[in-house]
Amino acid sequence: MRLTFLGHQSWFVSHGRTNLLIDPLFLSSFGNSSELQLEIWPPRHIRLEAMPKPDAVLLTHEHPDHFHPASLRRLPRKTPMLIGPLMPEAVERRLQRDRFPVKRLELFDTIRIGELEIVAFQAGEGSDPWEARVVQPYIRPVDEEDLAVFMTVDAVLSEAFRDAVVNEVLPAPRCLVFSNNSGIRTATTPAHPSVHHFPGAAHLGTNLYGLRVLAGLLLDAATGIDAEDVVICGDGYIPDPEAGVPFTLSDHARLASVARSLSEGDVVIHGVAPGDVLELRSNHRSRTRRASWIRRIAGPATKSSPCPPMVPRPLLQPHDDAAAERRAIRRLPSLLAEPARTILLTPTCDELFAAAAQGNPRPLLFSFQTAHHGAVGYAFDLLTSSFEPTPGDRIDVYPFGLMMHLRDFEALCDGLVQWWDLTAFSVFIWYGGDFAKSPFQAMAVHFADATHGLFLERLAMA
Amino acid sequence: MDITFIGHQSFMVHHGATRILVDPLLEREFGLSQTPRLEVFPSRTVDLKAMPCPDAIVLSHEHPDHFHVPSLARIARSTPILLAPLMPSYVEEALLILGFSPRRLTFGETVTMGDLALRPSPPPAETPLWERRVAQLFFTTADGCGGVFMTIDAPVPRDADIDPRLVVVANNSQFAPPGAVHANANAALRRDDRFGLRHAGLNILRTLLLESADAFPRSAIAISGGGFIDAPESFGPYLHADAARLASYAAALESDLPVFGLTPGDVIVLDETGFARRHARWIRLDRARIAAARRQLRQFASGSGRHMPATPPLADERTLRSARRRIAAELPLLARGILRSPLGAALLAACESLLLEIRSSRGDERVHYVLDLTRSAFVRRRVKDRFQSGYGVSLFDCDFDALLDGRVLIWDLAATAIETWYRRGYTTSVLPFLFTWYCEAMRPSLARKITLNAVHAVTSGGAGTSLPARRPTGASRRSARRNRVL
Repeated sequence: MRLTFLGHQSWFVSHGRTNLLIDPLFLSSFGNSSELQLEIWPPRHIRLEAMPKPDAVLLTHEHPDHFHPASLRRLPRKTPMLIGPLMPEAVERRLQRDRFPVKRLELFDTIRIGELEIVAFQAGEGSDPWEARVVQPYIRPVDEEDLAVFMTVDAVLSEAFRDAVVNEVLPAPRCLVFSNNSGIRTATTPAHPSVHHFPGAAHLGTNLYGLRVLAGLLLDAATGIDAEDVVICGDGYIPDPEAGVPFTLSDHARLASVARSLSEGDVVIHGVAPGDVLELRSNHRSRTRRASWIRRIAGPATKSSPCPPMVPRPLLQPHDDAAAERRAIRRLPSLLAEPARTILLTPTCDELFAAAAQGNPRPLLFSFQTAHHGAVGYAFDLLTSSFEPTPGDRIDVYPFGLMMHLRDFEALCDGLVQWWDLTAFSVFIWYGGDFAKSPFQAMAVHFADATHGLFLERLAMA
Repeated sequence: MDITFIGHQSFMVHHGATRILVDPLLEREFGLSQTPRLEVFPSRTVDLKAMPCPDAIVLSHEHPDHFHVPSLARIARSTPILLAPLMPSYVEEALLILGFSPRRLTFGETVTMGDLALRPSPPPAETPLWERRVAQLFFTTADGCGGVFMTIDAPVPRDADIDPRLVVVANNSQFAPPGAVHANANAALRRDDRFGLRHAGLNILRTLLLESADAFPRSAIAISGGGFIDAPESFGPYLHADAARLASYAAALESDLPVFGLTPGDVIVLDETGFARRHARWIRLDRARIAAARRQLRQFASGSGRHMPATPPLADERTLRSARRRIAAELPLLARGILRSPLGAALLAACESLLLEIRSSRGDERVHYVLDLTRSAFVRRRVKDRFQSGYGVSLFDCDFDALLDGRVLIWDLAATAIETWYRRGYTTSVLPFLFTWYCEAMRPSLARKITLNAVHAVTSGGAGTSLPARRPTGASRRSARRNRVL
């Protein structure tokens, strides 16, 4: 069986005459809103005409770096699309509009594609809530059971899969594919001591990010599963086109070489680059080759300014018309009503209650930048459970906050852009304490594509 | 220092010449909504003429069993009211309309009133949203002696830097007998899974006593709470809610320190040598009613409970149409709310659907909606076996409408008006979600409406006379506003 890496978390799995694509990204960049395209890193060119014809495509979940309709449109119609049981229905509709036959996988059911079998597992329970719909595939050749591969994609390894392997219901996979989603960018110098800039990796501590990521993947995530080959991919794009700098830990070959020096025994750790083909062979060590149809190309010159800005850059052109901006300001109380409830539903409220117990019942500021009306502020008040108007420029007095341009927030609420489009450089979040209880958490849960719904609905209708 | 138990979780704390009322429930029933009312149990009457005049009132949080407008209306308006630091704004507003001058406490700051001192503290981080505004109360004498810590409705904090002589815990288990219809019971199994069926009493006792014993190893414990009967149910008091009996088991289980099971009228006296127990003459037990209710519980036949609405049926086509509109507007929000909550995480992890059953209050019709996980929306479906969905909730159209219109609180429906079922643990089940989604913290505007209606009912002479009555003057109203902390 051969695993060909297309970049980021995109794979081409083949065995005999059967080919299976997983979350294909074929173009030099991806992005599902017209406002933002993110360049794949390291850059490569895929000669689609030379790519063997896929027998099916597996889409693990709905996020833009996994479900990219512009890539899928390059495939022959009639290519079957396999989706998980929790894939949003809007994605299914979009695929059907593009005339692809869609098959929903059921959990634990084995589906056969030519000479390959796929079993779908649900994201592990410790996964981030916005990754809850991820399907983790277990793929094996029909005739060579010992060559199975398991991909965790963006989620924590499925407990059901671990149980199946530990209890010998399924043969242990020969190969585990992990995604390094650490999202770390070059460290910033906070202007305010309590400020953490997302994604400044504050959630990973303040030092030794690489060690934390490797330990998280190889020690914690792989517990109980002894795969001979472990593959690290992910973080394979440039998060901020203007800065042009890849993620700090995106050189997986280097990460893997450190991991190899720290490991004993049979395990082989692979850090893949686009075009790498990992060949798994029964009773033999794996081999790595290069795919002839994927050509690595020189990346754009890295620009300076690796330090993310302390003020969000607008993704959409701010309102040029003062009247339109006033209308948007008037919409804010209604746009903030549902997010207020989400804050109370999520662990984010724990930190806010703790701040309130210290005597600050309005600890969270949402500050919206405008072109004509300065910074418009709303503070979350725990005594009224709602956002109350307040000056938007006093960010120094709030221990928790979110800053973004009003036009971007309005577009987000209306489903014109996705939360993930904005996190690159258009949202600035500060917090103290636990990242899992930061305002980022509540907003990522609130604007999760499947729940918020409006963006995917537009995508389905497009 | 002594504390008098008035019933449920209502107390009078006394030392020297100072008396402080905590969360007063002075009538036989309580409840903010017009229907249903909850009966304090063990049943008793409070003789308001004989009750010593309080020097202050403390309100620990906003729930109707702690903040009872008709009871407060019976107290002189000049009595200072101290509010928990996170008390929602509408409570302050209601008290100002009643003519009181409420003042907010600050966590960690000791307030001295005459011979007593009070320090409020926030509940521990694991407290669910609907109890997050609770202030836990530590009373000492003004010279720093004694020490009674009231945990109110929140868990015992593990790292509190206090050394109380007595910890008052509250039994909030509300354990319905097997076969009863109760929101806490898993309808698919017809049993209460909140604590497990088999050893429910032991679980309750462990939660009540060991959490306190581990956090405060030298403190005596007094058991309060669980002190009401949900009027519409047919089994009387909750199982294992008899505090005196629970305390007697504790004694049999080798307790080194006193464990008191509180009955209304009990006075626990903390003196230099230890504890003494007396009875307050101004609280009279209704022994006949207590015996009858306990007999009702003993004779409750499994499966004889009925799921029934808490509010009057929808009267005509017009109210039916408006109820349908209100419910239709709520469903998309409810679907997204569930998916953003721990319940949603449990549903997604197990690929389980959730069924919403809306029963007609005017006939046998049941309308079914399934939470479609791929659409993040409720979709109407014909369902033969409602338990085919691993998770579900069933309620009446009139109750759902009253809840969404701010005529009842979710707590008013928790007796026999809501059925829920679930597969895995209770903490990610349907009822805690409903409590979170419809509690005062999540829907302050609905709670405000109910509260201000209750205030209107007492100020328009609907319920009793205040004692001793003193109308607030313009000056006291102004000072009331000035005294507002926020």
